[in-house]
Amino acid sequence: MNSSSAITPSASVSPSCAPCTADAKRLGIYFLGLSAAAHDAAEKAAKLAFPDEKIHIVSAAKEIEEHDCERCLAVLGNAEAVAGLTSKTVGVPGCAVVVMGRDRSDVAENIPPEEWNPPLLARAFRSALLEQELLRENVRLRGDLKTVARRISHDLRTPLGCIYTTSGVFKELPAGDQESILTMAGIIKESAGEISQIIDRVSVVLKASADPIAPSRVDMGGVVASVLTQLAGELQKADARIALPSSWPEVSGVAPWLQVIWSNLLRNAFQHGGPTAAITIAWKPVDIGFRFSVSDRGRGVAESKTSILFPPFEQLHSMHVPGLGLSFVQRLVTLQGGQCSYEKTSENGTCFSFTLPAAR
Amino acid sequence: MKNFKLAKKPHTSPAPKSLGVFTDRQQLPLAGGRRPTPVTNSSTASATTPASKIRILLVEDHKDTRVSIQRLLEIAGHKIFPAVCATQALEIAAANDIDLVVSDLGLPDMTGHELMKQLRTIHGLPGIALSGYGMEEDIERSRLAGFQNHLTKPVSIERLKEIIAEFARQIT
Repeated sequence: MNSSSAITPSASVSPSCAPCTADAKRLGIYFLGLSAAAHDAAEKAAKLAFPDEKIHIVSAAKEIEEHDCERCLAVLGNAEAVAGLTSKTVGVPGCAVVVMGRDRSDVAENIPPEEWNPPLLARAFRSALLEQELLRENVRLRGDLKTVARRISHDLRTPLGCIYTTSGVFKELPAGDQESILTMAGIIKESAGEISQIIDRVSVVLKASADPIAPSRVDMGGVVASVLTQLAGELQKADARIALPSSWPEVSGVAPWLQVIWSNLLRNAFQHGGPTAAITIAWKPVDIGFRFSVSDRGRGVAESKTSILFPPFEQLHSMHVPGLGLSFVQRLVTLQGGQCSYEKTSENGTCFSFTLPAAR
Repeated sequence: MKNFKLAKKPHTSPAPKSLGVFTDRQQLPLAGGRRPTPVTNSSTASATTPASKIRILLVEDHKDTRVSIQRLLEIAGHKIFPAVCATQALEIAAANDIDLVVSDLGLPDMTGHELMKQLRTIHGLPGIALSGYGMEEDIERSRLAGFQNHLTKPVSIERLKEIIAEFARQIT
């Protein structure tokens, strides 16, 4: 892997909030346009509400606009501060927002000066964050439902339709055409396998999302070995050669989810890694833990499509992207506190990677 | 039943063919309020008017589906030109005399709708869309792209053969 290549974070992650990412707690609190009295009360309230969090004070709306974190609180003062924000920031997903000022009585979350009591404000801050979190979860769950209703249903219909058509071919085959019978039987078996695979993976992703499992210490080497055993047939079919690292770290994660991640990335490499896929699996330490990568000698992805390489599962219903695999990867990596990336390492080289926290 | 005849493929002119527009759910009115030709029961129709064999460009990226549909239509006597993607389909259409397009909509290099628009504009071809999406808006999108039919997967084989047979009868 060419370590000097620029890494393109997937569009679905939000790594750019400096106060959040600089702090393990990943929570930033922005003060914007507050009067001196409001600022003083808000600061005391924030310390009371989030004693262990970092408070980041900004004076320009632009800084909030540019940050893309989903877990921040913006405490705004005057009308200009509120008006200066776009719907992207205030909407969902975006910052939780609390407004402190008498000139915005039309804003529901507005807290008038007579209520600028630190314990009261602290409760308001916590409620605003909780409300935003619930709204975000609601958006995600509704998106998941739409994706299942539309995209997953669509993707199941392809192999299902294939079985349906093939069964019709059987009826019309000339008697004794054994070769065609075997071909058609093989098609039915393969399509049934595809259906089963989609159902299995969607089940893992939805169950993981609805009922997350707490990460535990996982030996990544064991996970990869198990996946390679499962994929032995496909590996042989693709005539792929895989280079593995000599040692593996332990990560904080969920083993069954990691198996789905690795099998999707490896299948991706089998399919697109060139005629004789030479695949390299590697890892390296990074700030939050480790970055794991699957590199191949495929032609890679057109630059115009890199931003939708890891489409969020909840948005699949409205996107035209070819496969489901990288979307499953994105969701499962995110649930374990990591991020997905893609980089083109050379003219004939691509690298898909993901980060995960180190085992605690 | 009133049938309308289609001219044979206009090799010198890319003007789109006129063909009744209908879906697997309903018949859509043609532009100008004209109603499409109703699709008849294939066995009844074939008993009175034998369907001709035509040249079909089959565009489907799912290998097994492509092989299966190709085999089905070949048994029916049609000449099939299979394509795995839109780029290949455009190349085949440029190099061969095609009567009808049968295309999936989720292709790897462009959507089936974009492909159909090009095939219709350049070669005047009519088409049947095969799709896992079957909402009203999907069917409408197919109609706007120039498909005469939108069949939702799993596609009824009888229905597909019926539509192709009807089309074959109209162009001959």
